[in-house]
Amino acid sequence: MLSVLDRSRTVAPAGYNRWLVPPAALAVHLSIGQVYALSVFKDALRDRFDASHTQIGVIFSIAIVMLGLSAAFGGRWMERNGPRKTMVVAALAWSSGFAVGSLGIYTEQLWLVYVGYGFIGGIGLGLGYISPVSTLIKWFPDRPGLATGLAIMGFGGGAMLASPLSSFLLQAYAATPAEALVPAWLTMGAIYLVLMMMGAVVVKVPPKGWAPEGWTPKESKHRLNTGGQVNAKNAVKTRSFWLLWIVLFTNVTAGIGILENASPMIQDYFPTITAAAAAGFVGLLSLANMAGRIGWSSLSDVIGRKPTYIMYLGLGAILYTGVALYGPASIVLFVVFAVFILSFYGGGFATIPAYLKDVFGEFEVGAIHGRLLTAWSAAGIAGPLIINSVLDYLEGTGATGAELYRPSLLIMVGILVVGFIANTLVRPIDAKYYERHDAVPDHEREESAVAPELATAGKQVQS
Amino acid sequence: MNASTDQETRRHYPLAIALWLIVGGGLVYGISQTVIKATALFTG
Repeated sequence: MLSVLDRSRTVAPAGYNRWLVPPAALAVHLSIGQVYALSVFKDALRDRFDASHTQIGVIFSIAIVMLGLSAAFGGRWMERNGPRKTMVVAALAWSSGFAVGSLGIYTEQLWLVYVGYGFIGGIGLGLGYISPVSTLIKWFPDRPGLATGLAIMGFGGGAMLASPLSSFLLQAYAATPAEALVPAWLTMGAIYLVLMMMGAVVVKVPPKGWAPEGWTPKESKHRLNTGGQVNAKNAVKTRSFWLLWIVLFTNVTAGIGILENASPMIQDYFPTITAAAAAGFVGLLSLANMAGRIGWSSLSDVIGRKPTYIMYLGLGAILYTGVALYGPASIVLFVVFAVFILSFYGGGFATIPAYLKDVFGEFEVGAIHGRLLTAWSAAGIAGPLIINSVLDYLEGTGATGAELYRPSLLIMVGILVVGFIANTLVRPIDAKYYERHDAVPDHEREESAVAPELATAGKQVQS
Repeated sequence: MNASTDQETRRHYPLAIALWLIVGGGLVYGISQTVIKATALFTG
């Protein structure tokens, strides 16, 4: 019965409309994107456990670390077993995370929330995040940036959806939010289980060698991939992998610099700004983050991946310098700079899978992407640490207003310059790392054995 | 194999379209809520 989850059972027949696949990716990413709205529960959790900000913040940290680890270690398993099985495991882990977390809240055992939402849910996050990426790249070889932008945009949208839903459930279930936590988490776990399972049912992989009708790969002297395919084990041995790791790490670290302190920052820069207006600023940045994922990633299909990251990191460094030096002069200037910075932050997440496909081929791009996401986990620790430690130090010296942020923003400029240099050094992979010309991934060998007739469906690309 | 796959695919077409509507509606709802929140920057 479980064979229905096998990769071979998800191969699309000839003529399958590829636009039926993105909603499966969006369903998964919209669900797991809830993690960015966890802060909505923060006060209720603090009341329930009588715990500090740090103790509650650990739940999010564990989840993000587990995201990186499960994406890194589960990538090759995902490539072998296909997106459907991976989505089912991700759905079970993510919804179980809510269930076990609810048990922890009910019994007032905070460690059980760490294990549930943080550890088990975090595994669902990592597997869910990478599950649709390589599938979409294979369906959209002509527009991989658009495809991955669509999926990863869902992750940004997930928080926008979860935030009002969580507030509604906390008000609807009980007199106080602390009492409403258990039914609210159980409800959200159930909703996400259904949504992710629907995604798992709908997802399909293209037959081997499939390509859009009338499309042929473009030849360009600037191409980073010379036609070779690199597996995940070999990819991590290459210099370009680690340069791209630095690119993602620096882009995320810098983005978190603004994101982490957006509300207090605008109020410190402009004392006339109210708390409600500051919350509006945070909302605007969320929109910019999401728009950047689909917009800039789609643009990368036209201008190329390396120039896109030159923009993210180079223009980003200039914008950060602008916020640090000229931000206090004008609120309009400050908001415009911040909006572009956050759009580059989102764009960086969405464009990286397509960049990996350009450099390493699509052979095991999902697994390689999973390993690269450890940069996200590292940046999730480094970004807030840099910003908050500088803030703490400056507050101790009596600094106020924009002065509190200037040094850390200039540190971020330096970090972006490092990423900019790393991006310019990315080169095509040495042919010694390529798979043999006739090599096929394990899963495709299995597909050919199970359904040889499907291998001839659709147009074949001669490589 | 082909026949059963075709049947499975036909069964999944409406589900895929329904899923487009659900995720599309969810995104529109989330974005509109955030836009309302963001307007406070200019009015608050």
